[in-house]
Amino acid sequence: MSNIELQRILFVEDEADIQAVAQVALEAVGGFTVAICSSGEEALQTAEAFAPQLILSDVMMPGMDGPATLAALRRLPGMADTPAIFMTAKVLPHEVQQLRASGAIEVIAKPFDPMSLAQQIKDIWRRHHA
Amino acid sequence: MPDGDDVQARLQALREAYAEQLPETLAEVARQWAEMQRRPWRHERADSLSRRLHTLAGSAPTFGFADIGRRARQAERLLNAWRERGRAPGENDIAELDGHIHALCND
Repeated sequence: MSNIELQRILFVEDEADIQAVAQVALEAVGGFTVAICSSGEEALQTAEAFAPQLILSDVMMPGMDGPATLAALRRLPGMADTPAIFMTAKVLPHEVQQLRASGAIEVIAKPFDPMSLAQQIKDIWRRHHA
Repeated sequence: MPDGDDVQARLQALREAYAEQLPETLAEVARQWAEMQRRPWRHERADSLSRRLHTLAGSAPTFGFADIGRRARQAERLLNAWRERGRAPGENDIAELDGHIHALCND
């Protein structure tokens, strides 16, 4: 099993309220360093310099949606294999299957529990690197 | 890293801020819906309302307003079904969505 510790998360979410809760959940509860982007376009501008170890993205966003953002991020240097997790309320089996097919290692259901989100992500990270 | 009490205090502050602006958000949903009913059907207006309902459906349960989230999701799904059909809704469609939005904004 790999011992790579997860530190840097690129979080893409257009909703300011959700950004604020997720920031507490990821930084204060989880101890991660988080770059928050309000759109896919902002994520593309931020990603190279931030060099995330994990991409955490909303699915339905104005402009570029989550899968389109991930596809564009994948074309940036060093981002081809960065693990990605989608967060969405659309968690019917066929919807989850589509999101996995678009390159996500996992899908986290919204609404999320701010106190357990970080642990959920750590568990996914551990399984992915096992 | 902040302690547990600090985290809870920050989350509580966010919940209170959300609760404070929720009536205004619901009033805006009601206003947009009333506007849609007054005017000829246009996809752009439906898109705007759908987006607002989607945001509400996603955020409200995170802040402890599960019923509002559920009702917003029902209204969003109904509205999206109209959009996907690509034509103006009929009277029954409008009455059904009106019921959902009334429940969302007034109950």
